[in-house]
Amino acid sequence: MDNKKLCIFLTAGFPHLASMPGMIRTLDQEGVDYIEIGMPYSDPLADGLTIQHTSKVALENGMKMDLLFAQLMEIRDEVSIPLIYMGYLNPVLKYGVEKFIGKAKEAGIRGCILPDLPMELYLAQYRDLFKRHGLGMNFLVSPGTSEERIRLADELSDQYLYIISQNTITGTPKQARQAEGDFYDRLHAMHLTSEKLIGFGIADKEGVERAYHHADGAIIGSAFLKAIDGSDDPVKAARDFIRAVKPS
Amino acid sequence: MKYEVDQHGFYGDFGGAFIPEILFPNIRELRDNYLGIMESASFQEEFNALLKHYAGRPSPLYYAERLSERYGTRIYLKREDLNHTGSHKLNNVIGQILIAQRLGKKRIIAETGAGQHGVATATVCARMGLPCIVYMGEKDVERQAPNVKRMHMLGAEVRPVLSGSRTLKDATNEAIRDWIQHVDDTYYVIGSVVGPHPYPDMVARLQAVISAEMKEQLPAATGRDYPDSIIACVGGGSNAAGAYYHYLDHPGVALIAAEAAGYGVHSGKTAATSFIGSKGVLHASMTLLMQDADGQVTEPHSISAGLDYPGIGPLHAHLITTGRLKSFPVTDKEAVRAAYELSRLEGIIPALETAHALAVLEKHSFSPDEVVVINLSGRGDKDLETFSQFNESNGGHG
Ligand SMILES: Cc1ncc(COP(=O)(O)O)c(C=O)c1O
Repeated sequence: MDNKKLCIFLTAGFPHLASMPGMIRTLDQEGVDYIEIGMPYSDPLADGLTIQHTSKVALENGMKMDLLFAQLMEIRDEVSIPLIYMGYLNPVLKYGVEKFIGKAKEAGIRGCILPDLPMELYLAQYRDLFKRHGLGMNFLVSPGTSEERIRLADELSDQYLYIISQNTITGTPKQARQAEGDFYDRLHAMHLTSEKLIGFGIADKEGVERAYHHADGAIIGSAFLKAIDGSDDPVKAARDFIRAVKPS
Repeated sequence: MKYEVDQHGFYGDFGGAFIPEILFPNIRELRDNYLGIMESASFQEEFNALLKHYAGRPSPLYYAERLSERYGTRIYLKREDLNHTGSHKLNNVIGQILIAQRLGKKRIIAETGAGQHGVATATVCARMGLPCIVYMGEKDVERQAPNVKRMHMLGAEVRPVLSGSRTLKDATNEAIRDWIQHVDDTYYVIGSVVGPHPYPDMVARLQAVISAEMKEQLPAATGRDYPDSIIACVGGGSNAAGAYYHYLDHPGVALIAAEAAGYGVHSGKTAATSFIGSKGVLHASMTLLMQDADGQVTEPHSISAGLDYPGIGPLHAHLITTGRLKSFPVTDKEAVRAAYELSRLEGIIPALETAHALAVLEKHSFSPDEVVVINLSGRGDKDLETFSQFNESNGGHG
């Protein structure tokens, strides 16, 4: 499974304000292929209970955009794993899109996922700016997404296409396997050019293997955050988790 | 129309649909169909019949003689409190449920703050035989307990929301999460002129019956079909949008809003969005919202659950920033005082939300021959507990 990718989502500032740099080092050492850096938000309306909780804790810990970038600067020369910023649109707007792009690039971020930035608006208002500064953007598609929009998302995504395997918020266990399979078959038949990573609800090795079978990789968020939540040694908990879910 | 939404769903800089991709098919379906449905003969017929025979419209335009005397001007109350279920909220819900039926949706969800929108939704769902789930912040479940009981009696399921400030903002988040998980069969009835396009425009059009009736009713009372001023409270802004709608382009009509200032605009315990808010995205709409320097939404406070919201609709953001709409901040205390005043002068107990609109009379003076319409958005039965508690702890008003 050498060519398959494992992507881990973490919430910056969780479980402790300064947790992120050590966590990134560990995930890098464990052979994770991408890390999604989640900027916590007060109103995460596409997220389930786990990420609502980690976001709340991270904000109470004092996580802020500037601190997130500063923490990434600390380790920027040590780690080579591609980092993807993931967060809601409003904090980026408040920070200033141009300033955000500059700081993100400087901190070593390769691309972004802003789930509440629609593709049309990105195209109309921001794509040139992101391109000019060489910062990527990536979009999500779900079983209800039309072929036309899947093709647009494929074209606009720079690192990978984020495949949501069922219509749900983050952290919900998978239900309908059959419908899910049909969706993957549909995507496969479209011969898309982007790397396809499957996310939302993947919690164990079996889920990762299934994603590897159907696509180019798997994204794990809530299950990873649950595994490190409440641990005396979050870094060790993270290492154990990756070893348990990563197919050899 | 100068203040109409454009083809991308924007009012000037405000509006749009900042939705996760999962919701795109639903939003597109609604966007592509709402105007066609609303203009169809079958919808018009059913909507108008329900407004007349079920809701009891038109609502009276009542000359408030003693209140007028007290403030030295001519005050008319548009009696939305007499609408079935006790507020303007029903107008919007009847319309949206008829639209949901025409889109083939089988399951209805809603958010509610004061419980009035939840009660209205539970009511129409009962009438139409549709299952209804209402999300309500835990704090609001407590302070608007009578409305929770009404929703239960009407057969709706009320789901208390425990996240955030446990009020309207969080109930809305939770309703959106539900919608994301049930995109195939579920219709989300939003209770105000907020949320992604086309909701603000659709809800404004459904509430526009308020100003359409005013146009019919004013000539008999005043000899012309427009007032000098219209005052309404703004939570999300639906009763205000309905009361302003047919006068938006009429320069002779001053539009006035009351926002909930809580303990005071700069007290840190406020919901006066247009005074301390700034531009950003809230509930999938570019609008004015209360946020900190990092773009995190801040928690609002108002004694009134229906106004306890850190944003306003994009139409109102546009009207305020262009100067078309003048807004006044009204504190908890000023609102309660105004509620007692209306009760004692006119024998009408207003909702806490509505009381904020009445309190503008103390803040702005109107001349004796001016015609002022106050949109009396709802009745205060649900708030009796809050009124009496507040009154006792503040030395009384009577
Ligand atoms: C009686 C009444 N008035 C006003 C409001 C505020 O909502 P809006 O600004 O959408 O009219 C509410 C909301 O719950 C209400 O119940």
